[in-house]
Amino acid sequence: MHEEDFTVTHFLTHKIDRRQMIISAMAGAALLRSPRTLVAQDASPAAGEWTFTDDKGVTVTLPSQPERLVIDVNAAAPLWDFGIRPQALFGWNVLADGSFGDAGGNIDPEGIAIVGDVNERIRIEDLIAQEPDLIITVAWDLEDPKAYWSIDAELVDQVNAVAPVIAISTTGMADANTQRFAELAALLGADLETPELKSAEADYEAAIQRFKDAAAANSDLTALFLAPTPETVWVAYGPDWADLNMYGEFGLTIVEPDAEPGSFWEQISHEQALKYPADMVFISTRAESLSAEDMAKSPTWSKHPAVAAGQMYPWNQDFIQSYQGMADALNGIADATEAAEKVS
Amino acid sequence: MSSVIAPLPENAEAPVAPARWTRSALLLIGLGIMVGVMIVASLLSLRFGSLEISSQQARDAVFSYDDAVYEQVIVRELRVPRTLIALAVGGSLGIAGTVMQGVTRNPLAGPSILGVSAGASFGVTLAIYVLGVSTPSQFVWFAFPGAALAAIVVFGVASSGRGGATPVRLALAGVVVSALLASWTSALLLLSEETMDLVRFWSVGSVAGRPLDVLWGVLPLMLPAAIACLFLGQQLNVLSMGEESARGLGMNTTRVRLVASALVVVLTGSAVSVAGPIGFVGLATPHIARSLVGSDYRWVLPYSFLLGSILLVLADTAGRVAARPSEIQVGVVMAFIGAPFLIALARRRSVAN
Repeated sequence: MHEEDFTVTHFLTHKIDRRQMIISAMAGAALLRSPRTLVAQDASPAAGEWTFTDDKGVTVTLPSQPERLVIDVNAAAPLWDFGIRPQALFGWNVLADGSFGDAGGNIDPEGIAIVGDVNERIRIEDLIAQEPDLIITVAWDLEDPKAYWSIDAELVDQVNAVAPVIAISTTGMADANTQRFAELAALLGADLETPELKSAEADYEAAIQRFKDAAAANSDLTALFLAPTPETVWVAYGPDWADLNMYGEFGLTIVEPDAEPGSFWEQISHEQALKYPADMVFISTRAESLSAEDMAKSPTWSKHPAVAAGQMYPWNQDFIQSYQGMADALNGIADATEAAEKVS
Repeated sequence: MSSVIAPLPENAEAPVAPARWTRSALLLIGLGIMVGVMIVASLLSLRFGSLEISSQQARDAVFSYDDAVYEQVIVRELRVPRTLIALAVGGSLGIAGTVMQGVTRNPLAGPSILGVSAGASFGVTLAIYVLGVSTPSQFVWFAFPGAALAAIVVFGVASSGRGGATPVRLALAGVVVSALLASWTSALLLLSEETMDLVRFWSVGSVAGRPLDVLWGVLPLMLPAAIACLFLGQQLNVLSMGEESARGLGMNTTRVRLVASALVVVLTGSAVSVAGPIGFVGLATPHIARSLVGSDYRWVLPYSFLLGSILLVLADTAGRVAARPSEIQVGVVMAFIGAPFLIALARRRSVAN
């Protein structure tokens, strides 16, 4: 049996602990209990079947529309805006105090189970207890079949044994990804024609236009996206990020650090604060990041033209690919672009 | 225990002969040279780093500081603090290692042998996990009690039962307690990814981004302990003759060990509090010092302080230059340097015996 094989190979290749074995066994039991087909690559869906091909190219076919959804916070925030309510949440952005930071967007956690957090992204036992029909997350890497946000590579098989996993991209273009979230939400039963969503969509389109206008009117301004910590500073490499990539496409000049494509960042020391001059500095709003006040007080960063000019703005590195989420992000940057002076 | 190799000390009480005068004079001159080397190493640390600057700018930063010049700001605000921290931490670890090797008569002993480093790490990790402490300047207040408690437990375990705290019992108790604390630390880190993120940088050992306040906070403990260690030379010389001989000469060996170990705990605890655990400095420095000046602890101790400072400052500078535009933590650099050194040491006949 497949599950037994898994346990045995796992036992041979890893220093397995008993807990892992129990988890494997439970995952196997869950699979046996619900006799559904996981993946049917070529078969066209029969009547009543639910099918979706995700951004990694994985096609999931279920006997009916999935009801019990367990969703990573980064995927749940946009789906929430599209009207999808998760059964349970998990992932890196369920923080230790139970909040979601800026990744959570409009999610109201009332009554939603938590089956994983920053310390243990997904707890298989808790996941199984939710009896999910479908597990949804995002993907920063569409090529590697084991690369899912908030699901460690070695757990992917076990999680897939509980329920099929699908992922929407957070690379490429944020506007295209936003449409993908809309498609998925519609397939999951959301009504995209509500007045609220229609008005959100109009706001989003207006925000795109406004962003493009602001960028065109201030085309000499440059932007740097940072996640600074006390010991080291991470400089975002725009083409790897769906949001930054889209901003670039819409006319914002993003300073490109010396990074390998696919690495998302270049790591620099605080001594290198002036390596990338820019007119605007966007600082990650993650909890571990230095704040704008910290940067202004830093002996090195205070000499950076944008920091010295006070042209520092928040960047939600867990950008939310919904109409509301992207409209907020676009308007925030448009505000900054309209307000900032050329200083570098 | 007398089978443990113990370099024969020169008899300190011997009548002063002309030859000894010459030797002492030479060693004193050597000490002066070491101070010179330390100053040169510190200057290198100010001159070279992650960002390339000119010699002129480095000079100006020291002698005619202009805080409008970015390169000078880097020297003053980033490189001066980390150089001072590296000097203090390296010196403390160097002298603590020498005292530890003398007290335990074990050439492979380091300051961590009493469980001090493991205790400090556990203290910090526990503080982050339970109390949510997150800034390095707060880590000190948990590293220190952790280090002291670990050492007390080691002494307690080693001195229980008949025979008291012999070097072997101390070493064994230290290893056991260190292993226990290290596994508890790992358990906490596995439980909490957030703790891991915060501890990761600290637990590698680094002098970057540590505010000078942290150093000023521990200096009132560190400095007196280091000076006190310098006066232990005679006692360590006698101890190195072996337990029986030392007792025969009227020494209260248990008391000397206790005092010396307490000083090591203070030195290591404060060093670890500031920079996180940094390996190999305490182990390697005494050997380099002995190869330079022989086995007389009265000389080995001051030399090992200076050598420890020099070693750590140079290692930190190398780590900054090697990974531009980023940096390698000095703890990692020391591990790189230290591993081959340890192998060379183990291959030496005197130790293998």
